[in-house]
Amino acid sequence: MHRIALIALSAVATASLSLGAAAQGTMTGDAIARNIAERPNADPRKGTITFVMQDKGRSRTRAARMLRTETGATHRLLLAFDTPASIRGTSFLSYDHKAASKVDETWLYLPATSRTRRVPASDRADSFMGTELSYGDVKDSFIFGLADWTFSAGGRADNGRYILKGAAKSARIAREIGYGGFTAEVDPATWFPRSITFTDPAGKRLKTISVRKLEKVGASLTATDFTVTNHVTGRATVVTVSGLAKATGADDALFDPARLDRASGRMP
Amino acid sequence: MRLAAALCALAAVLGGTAASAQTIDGALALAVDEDGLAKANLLIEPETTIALGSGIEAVMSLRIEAAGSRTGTGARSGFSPISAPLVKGDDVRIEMDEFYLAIPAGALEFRLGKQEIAWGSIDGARVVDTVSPARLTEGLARDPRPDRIAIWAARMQAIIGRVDLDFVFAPDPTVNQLAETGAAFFPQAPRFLAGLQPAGPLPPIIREDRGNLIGDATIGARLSYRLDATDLRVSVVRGIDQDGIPVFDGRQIELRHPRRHTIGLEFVRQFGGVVGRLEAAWTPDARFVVAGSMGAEVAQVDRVVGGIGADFSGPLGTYVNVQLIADHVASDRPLVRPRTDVISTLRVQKDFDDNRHALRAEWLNSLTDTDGLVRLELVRRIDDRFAIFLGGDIFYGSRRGIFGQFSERTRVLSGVRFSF
Repeated sequence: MHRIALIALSAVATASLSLGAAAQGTMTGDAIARNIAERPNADPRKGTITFVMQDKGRSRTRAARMLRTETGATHRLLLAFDTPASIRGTSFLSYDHKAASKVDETWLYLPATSRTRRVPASDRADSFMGTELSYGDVKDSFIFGLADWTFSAGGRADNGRYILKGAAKSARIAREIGYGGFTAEVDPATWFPRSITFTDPAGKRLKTISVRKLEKVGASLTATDFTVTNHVTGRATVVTVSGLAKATGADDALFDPARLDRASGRMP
Repeated sequence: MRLAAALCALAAVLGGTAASAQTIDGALALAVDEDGLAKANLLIEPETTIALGSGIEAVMSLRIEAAGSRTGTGARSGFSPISAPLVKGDDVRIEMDEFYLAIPAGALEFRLGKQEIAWGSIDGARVVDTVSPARLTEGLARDPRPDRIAIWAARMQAIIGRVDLDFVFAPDPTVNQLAETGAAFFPQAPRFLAGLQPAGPLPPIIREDRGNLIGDATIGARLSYRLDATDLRVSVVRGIDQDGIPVFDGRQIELRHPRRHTIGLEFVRQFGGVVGRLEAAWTPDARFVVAGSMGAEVAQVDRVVGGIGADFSGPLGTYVNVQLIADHVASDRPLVRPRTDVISTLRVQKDFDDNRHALRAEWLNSLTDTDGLVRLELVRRIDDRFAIFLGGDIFYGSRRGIFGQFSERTRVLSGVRFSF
């Protein structure tokens, strides 16, 4: 059954790719980025996200319950960490506004302080809970902020994927997001980037995100297996999402910053 | 005590029958100052969270503390009868920390039992954050700061669109926990001792009786409104003064805890890469000891405390928090405290080496008394369970000041923190 589904999905993807190639062979970078940003992402979904941080043969694991949804023009992500014990109870909430004029919002609840704090946008470049992902990587959901980047198209890769390039719109934005530019391979069947290589604000190759597996809930795709490799430090973080499912009962109250203090217990 | 034992037994039964998660956090800390070993402290905090279905959770935690040094475990007189430690030895103390049921019901959530209530937006300073009392057994050199004490309370939170409502009724007159008389961090500044300037032994210090659970209850309401990148909050708290008014009757100092009302305002906004915070509280019936009265006279005054702060990313990947806090009393008569206290705070943190190391530097500075505290700490995380730390607290300035009163308590700290 699973194999049949995969074959069917593959056939659909191939057909879409062929049609896409014919119809959209000369897509601009802005058009590709817009397609990525407008990718269906609204279905409420839940799962357990696990970060395995690898460094010179050693590894550490962090796991959190995840809840995603999209309301109106805002994508919302809630992570509630369960392991290890040292970070249990820590919760992360982000509102990613599609409108470029609205500032994205991020909150962090730390049990040690018993308070929920807004995280400054300038912290987007900071490491997320010690992983190779930044706060920005976690909340962006594989979407490139239209206000952050100047896009250009780089043609097609041998596998048919679009090459999308981005350059940070300003030095300030580059500092905030921690990246000066990127090159991504974008699957035109799903408008999901399958690999992204970022450079730091000085233009030096910094890290690569490789997506191995996507899963669908409703019309929304989630990367359920990907690796972030830091080329400077040699460290990597393998991210997997298990138990991905439609989140029934995920009401608005769960995504209220006032309810971050016991988020794990409230999640459906 | 019987109630506590019954609750513990209930917790054990629940823990054995429902899905639960347990953690044990703690720390072993040693400190030396110019007089030798200043602090030897072991803190173990086991916690159990039990899911009872439909989002209902029971949270239970203990606080087991052992100390064998001049810092000690703190005075017991701050605890109300219903929050008294289960074991109250001089060197070993066991407290029921949190013990509550959280009951979500759609847009409402009820929380019943012993719990921490954390309001306010400014870090470290309790401007609006006056519902839960705090441990002050090491002055302001505690982690976390404020180190809140859980109190028995019924709390209801409601979400109505962009508005959050929070109501608290806490019939638990526990007040701030001070160091024991004679301990390293027992207050020495005249403002905390009814204006007396200790040159020799202090007179006995006692606490006013606080056995009236309803009359001395803390009642609070907070309304929060969130719009785009802005939070606006208004709060009202009626409860006893948790700091205590030190009144000298010629024989002893009595810490009195009169009722007072506080109206608070908070404003938090994200300005691009900076989060700005503003917090203010007005207490129309604050009380302070009148100077020149030999500590016997208390004046009722208007008190306004305001704080402004910002968080942002600093150079070299640092996290920076900077704040300015002013505490003003409007009084025609001279008081044993300054008319206006102004304190600046600066905290810089950096994680490095894949979060294996963290460096934290903090500077608390009183512009009024020109005294202060510099705190430094280097943490090495061994793994996800253990972290070792080395640091120091440097107190400086006038002995009349909030920080300078401990200028002989400058210390080097080291220890291990653990989580299982």
